[in-house]
Amino acid sequence: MQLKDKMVGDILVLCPISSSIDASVSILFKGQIVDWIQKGYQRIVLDLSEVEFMDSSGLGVVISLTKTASRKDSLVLCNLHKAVRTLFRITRFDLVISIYDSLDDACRNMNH
Amino acid sequence: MGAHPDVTIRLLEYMAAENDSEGRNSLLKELIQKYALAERKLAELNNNLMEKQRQLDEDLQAAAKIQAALLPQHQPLTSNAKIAWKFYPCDRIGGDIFNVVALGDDYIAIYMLDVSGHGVPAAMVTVSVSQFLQQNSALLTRKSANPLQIPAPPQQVLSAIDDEFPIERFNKFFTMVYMVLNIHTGQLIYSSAGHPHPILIRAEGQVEFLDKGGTIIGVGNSIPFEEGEKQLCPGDKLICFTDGIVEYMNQNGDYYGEERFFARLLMFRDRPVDDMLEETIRDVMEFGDQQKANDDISLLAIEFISSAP
Repeated sequence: MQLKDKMVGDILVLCPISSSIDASVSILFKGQIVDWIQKGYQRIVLDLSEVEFMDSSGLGVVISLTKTASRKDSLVLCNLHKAVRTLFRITRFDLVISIYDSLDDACRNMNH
Repeated sequence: MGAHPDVTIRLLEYMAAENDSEGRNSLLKELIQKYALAERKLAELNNNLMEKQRQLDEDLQAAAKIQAALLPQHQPLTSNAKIAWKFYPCDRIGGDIFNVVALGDDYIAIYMLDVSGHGVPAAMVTVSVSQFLQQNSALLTRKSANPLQIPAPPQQVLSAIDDEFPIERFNKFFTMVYMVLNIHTGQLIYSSAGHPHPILIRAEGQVEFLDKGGTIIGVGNSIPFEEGEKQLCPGDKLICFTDGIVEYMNQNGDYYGEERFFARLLMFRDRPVDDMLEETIRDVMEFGDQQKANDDISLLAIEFISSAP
């Protein structure tokens, strides 16, 4: 699964180029992001603008990433599609990880 | 026949190219023998495969029986509450589990959980959680100055479960709802871990949702599991479910959905909980034209009959 990366200041922005994060790609997805975390990036924004669908395995990946990331709010999300946002809301996982409407919002909040 | 297959094939190709009747007969004989051997091998492989499949099916069947034994086996011993349930795992065994447990003479605990994924791995986690709850009955009650045991608050129970089942343990997380009902007073205290909100249908028809709670089990977060409280009155019906029923998809790609589900429950709210669930499942199957579900379907209904002491 393709994962685009770019820097915005000292914030790493990762954008999965896949319309779906499900059981078939979740392991790969996790591995790629863990690689970035292990390189020492402390502030990571996961831009999910391409992801239209996420199932429990995708959610499972985000959960383990929040635990792998160095501190709370080290990893945040932005640009969630409606279905993905609903998944996070229903499971109340939006209480655990910060979710922003746009990349700008995410970066602005991370800079504080 | 012991020659290297590549050499044999090249030899056959060579013989086929030769324009010689004796050679062609010999080639035909060779081919027939090769074909017969291949057929025998194929039949053997097929038999092996079928036997393995049969064994797996048998194992799944046995596992399904074990899992069914972890579900409610009978009505609660009190006549103040009546329960009904439906369990349709999509792979013979499922990642959902639920139960109703007596806590002393005055309370019953009700829980339902949905492990991420389905099939064997998810089912194994349900067994683990079920066993943990069963073997730690002390977890569900707490000591008080009064020798009567009183139920542990749902927040505490979910917290303990969250400690016991971090996502790293089985590489799975789950949603869960845990409730304690006082069968004499009808007082219900509950909490939830990211689970679909149970629906409370009052005897007069009003609908309420049990929406307090925290996030899913496995995250190991310090976010507390917020508790909520409801006062049940005679005739009130409480329905717990997992998302399998709401996300059931028919061949047109339409979801059964919450609206249809709640409407169906409401339609039969005056019937005993048994009938209510039976009619709901019937509707789901009709909607999907008996199509197999892609996720486990679990329904648990509790009717509060009376608050007689």
